[in-house]
Amino acid sequence: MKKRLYIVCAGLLVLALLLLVLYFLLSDESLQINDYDLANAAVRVYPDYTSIAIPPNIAPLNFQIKNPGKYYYVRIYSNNGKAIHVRSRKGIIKIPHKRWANLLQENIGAELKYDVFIQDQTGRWIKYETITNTIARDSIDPYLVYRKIDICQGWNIMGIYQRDLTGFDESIVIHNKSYGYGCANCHCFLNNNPDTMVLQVRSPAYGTPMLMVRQGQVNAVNTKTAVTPGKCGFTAIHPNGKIIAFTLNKFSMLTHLAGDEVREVFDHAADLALYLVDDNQVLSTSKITKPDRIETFPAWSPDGKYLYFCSATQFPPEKYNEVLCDLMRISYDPKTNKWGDLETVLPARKINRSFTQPRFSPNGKYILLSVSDYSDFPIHMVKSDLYLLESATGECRKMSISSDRNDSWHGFSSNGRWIVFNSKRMDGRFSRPFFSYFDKSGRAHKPFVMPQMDPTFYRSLTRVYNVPELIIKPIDISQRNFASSIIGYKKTTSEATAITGATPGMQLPSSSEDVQQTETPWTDPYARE
Amino acid sequence: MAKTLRIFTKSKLGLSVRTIIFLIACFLVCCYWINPKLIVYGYSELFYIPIYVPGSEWFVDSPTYPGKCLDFLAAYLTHYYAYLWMGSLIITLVIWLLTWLTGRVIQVMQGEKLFFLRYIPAIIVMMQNGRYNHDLSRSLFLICILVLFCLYNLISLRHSWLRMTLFLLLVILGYVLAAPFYWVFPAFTIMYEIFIRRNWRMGAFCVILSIFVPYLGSIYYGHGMQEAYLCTWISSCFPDIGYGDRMLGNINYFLLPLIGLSCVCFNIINDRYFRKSKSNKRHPGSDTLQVATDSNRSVWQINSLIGLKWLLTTSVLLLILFGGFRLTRNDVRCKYLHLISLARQEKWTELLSEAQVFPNQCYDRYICFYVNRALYHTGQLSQKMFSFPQQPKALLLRTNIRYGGKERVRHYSALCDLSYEFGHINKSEDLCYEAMTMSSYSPWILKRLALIYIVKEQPEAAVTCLWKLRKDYLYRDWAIKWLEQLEKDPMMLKNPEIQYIRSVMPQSDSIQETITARDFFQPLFNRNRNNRMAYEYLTAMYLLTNDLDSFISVFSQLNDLCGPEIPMHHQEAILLYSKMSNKPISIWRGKLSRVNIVRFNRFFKTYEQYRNDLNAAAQVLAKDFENTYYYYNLIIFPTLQKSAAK
Repeated sequence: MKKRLYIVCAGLLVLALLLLVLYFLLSDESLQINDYDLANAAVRVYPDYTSIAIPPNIAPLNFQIKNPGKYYYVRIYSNNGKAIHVRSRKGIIKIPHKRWANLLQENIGAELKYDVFIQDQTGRWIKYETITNTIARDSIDPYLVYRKIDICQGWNIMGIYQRDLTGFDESIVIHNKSYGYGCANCHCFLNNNPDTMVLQVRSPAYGTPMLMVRQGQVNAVNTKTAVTPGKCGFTAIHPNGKIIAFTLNKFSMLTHLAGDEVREVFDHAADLALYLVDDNQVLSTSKITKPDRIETFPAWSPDGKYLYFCSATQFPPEKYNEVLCDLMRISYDPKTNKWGDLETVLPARKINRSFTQPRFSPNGKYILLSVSDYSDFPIHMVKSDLYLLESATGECRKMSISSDRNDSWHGFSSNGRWIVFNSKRMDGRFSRPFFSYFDKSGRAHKPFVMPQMDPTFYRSLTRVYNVPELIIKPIDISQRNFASSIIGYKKTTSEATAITGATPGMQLPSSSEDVQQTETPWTDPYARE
Repeated sequence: MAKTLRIFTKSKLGLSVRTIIFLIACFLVCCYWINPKLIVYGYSELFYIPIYVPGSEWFVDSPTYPGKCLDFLAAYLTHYYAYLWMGSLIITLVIWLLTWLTGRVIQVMQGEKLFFLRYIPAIIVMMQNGRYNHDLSRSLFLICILVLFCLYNLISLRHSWLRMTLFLLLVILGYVLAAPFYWVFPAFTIMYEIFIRRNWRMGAFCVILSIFVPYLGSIYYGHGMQEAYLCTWISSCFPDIGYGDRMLGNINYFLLPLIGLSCVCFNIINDRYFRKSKSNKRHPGSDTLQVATDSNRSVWQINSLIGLKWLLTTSVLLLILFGGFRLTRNDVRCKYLHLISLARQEKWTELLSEAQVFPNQCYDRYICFYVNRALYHTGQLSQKMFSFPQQPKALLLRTNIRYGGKERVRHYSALCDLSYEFGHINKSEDLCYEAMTMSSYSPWILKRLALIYIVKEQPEAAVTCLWKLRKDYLYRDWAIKWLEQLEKDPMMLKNPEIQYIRSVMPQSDSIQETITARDFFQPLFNRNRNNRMAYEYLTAMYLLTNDLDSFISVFSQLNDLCGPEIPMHHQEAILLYSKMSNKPISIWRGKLSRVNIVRFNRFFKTYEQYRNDLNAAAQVLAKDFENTYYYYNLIIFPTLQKSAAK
């Protein structure tokens, strides 16, 4: 009896080994094609992953070959390591993840080549021009956080998601289904680190908390004061992590009767203020709360001495196409709460276009900007370009990575070597996250869209990406924690105190009396005509 | 013959045949009365049905919640309702599973004599379908719970701790898969353990565990306690429907445990009172069979009696099915959805003939809107619009939206089609976005959006919509056809429909936050004076709002757009205007029909007699003049205004 059992077990083992051998033999995708014609043409691939610089830690750049054919064969190789062979009947090239990762790691700084063979209807193989990409020496931050939403005014569902760029995993950071279908707008991080982050929520059911994460703990902050309505817009965290600059925008959506772009976001009023985290206080100055000007898109200089922002003359809605934003800055001393003078860094009249969304490179050497023909809200413009400003010299130039469509919502990686931005270049309508290598000489390389497991993914995606932000590690706060902070916000959070010379009836901070004696009263932007 | 009949009726075969007859009846009811196609075409008109979104987007992008898998499955299956036979088959399959599983539960609960109860949940589901307020996921939840209970019974483990583990596993599975019907499973198990297996300890353990599981669920899924325990989805599924419909929608939730309880009670009563007495006092007359055997009746008589019983029960079952269905069926909603589905498929002639038999009092603004579109597309807007009930604001749906998401989807999707046909492409695109975000996925809106992008010469964006539609097998062919055309001619310069829309779409841009009716039409005429649709709708709007001065002004400038003859309602309006303003109509006199003039004079003469009593005037004039503009202007419009003021 026992003997028979041993025989059965041994037989099963042999069978398993045989199957294993068979699997390895059959899974070898390599193909010997000796007889082929050379096509002196570049192969058409979707998405365009040709002649790009790629991070050594990026997920496989799966693509689709658009040239017609009966059979497709791609060989991916570099100086070192084993080549990757991919065969396909439909032209969908899905690269094995592990082998891809190994190949990239073994060839950092080298060229990555793709030999593409297509078998035509007669059975003849055609070899197209070799695709050559470069594996950059610098890694990209492994996670990307973004909002996914339908193109809409009255939203229904939306969520903030994080994507592991080294693979294809995407997870939900927070979805508005968990807090009554409210809105989650612009998220921001301190130095690309999710340990300190801010996320503003607007929920008809639960209020408008500013969710603030510090040392892995999430808090719902009430920024409502006597003069601030508590609905923050864009935010920027001071390098010391204790001050958050935020905007108070009174937006409305206008509709174009004709033309390519349907929507126009108009700012009826916009002011800037600071939230002092430790003191639970809101602070501002009349220099950045002028009723006759829009002040928006705050960004701290990496040394924390200046608050950069965009500012334009306030116009009525019918003059929507006259809104041109200057890039401005104001110095601020966090120790004394002392404001300096306003300075115009980059006047709009210089190129007669509007500067928005300033973002510093981590070393403070560059400022990346969105530039559109008008408006302080570039995402709805038909065309918006990326400009680079050298902060030391003041030299400003249009970046070569700009497309003839809308490029905006940009940011740097923590090492400053990668730029992420939203672009509508693929179809002119639906924005997707793109990456571009930004080398030491300040040159940006040809951008590429965030890779997906299914290379045709973007072809049928009618949702859009917003505010892509690179982070060095995943956000480890659970969705539930975020949701419960929002849900419990009204019960647990008290209003902040407004302490500003610009606020009528408010006590002046003692250390900045000399500056703020000249303040004019600050009025709630929502109450302005 | 007699023997066969006896075997047939006494064995399980009889039950199976009865069930098959029942299922065939259900299938026929689905095909001929319910028409599952209406559910798909009228999905935005219905209060709640799961919407299938092609691809994995829907599943991956939204947070997980208990019951998500079956919701997705239900949405996927509901998608097949677009084919009448397929939809009917799915509903019948669900009915069969419900019947069979309920039968199993009855068997487990030792209530075989109450076999009739097995059909009740299925009949309820048919009734819900007849009222178009049933979503498939609820049936799937129910089926899932019943399967779990049958599994629990099937895997008969001896050791208590093994049974407990099994219960724990199944109860968790029940929560994960079918949370809205979660409590049905513990209810069955507790009844089974306590009353059938007489294992009080196990029953108590089941109670504790089943209370504990939603708590775990609240932690895992991040729900509030109330949501986790009461499964608030149940009531929130039907936010806008009446109490009766809501009760009918939820009845199975309570009915199934009641069926289980009935079986248990029946057993107890039977055991305690009848079984004893039967064993003690049994006599030849106590049982039909016994009577027949004992009294030496012929075999034929016995079998006939059994056959008759079978026939009777089957007939009663069918009677309950048809009766219950007929009594609860919502005929108006069925016709309403039929009209909507015809509008979605742009079958205008059929829509008009259906609209003629649709009850006048059930016309809402959407039906008025679609009827007017149908009239325009069949070239009858200015000829026959007052032959149908009209509402002044329904023509352009110029009403405030006060309702939730579904109402917005209806409003926006209706308006985006109309705006597209006018040539207001940006307006239409704007509305498409809003409708699309509210509906999660709507193939009609996506189709419209694809066409908008094509008209706007944005082929790449159109391709994105077409690729998405390509994943939807119902629209696959349509999408592929357009993709092929775009491949050949990206700007669609040879497509007459696209070229026509391009020729009427406004070209000069402006920004408007609120648009008045005049602002809506003016850019269309500025772009193309020959925009006939805009002209017909503008004049129709002036007629509907009794703004005769504006009508005459537009008519004077653009009447050549309607061809050599003045349309019927325009003639009526001119006659009325002339009468009311005492202005001559000499310019158009030659074009006015003599019959019309005589008819108008006859109307006005009678109207003058009843001028101060509108109700009396309406009664007298309705028969002959109900379909005229002057009847609408002088009788209906003032009444509508009065009721609006109230």
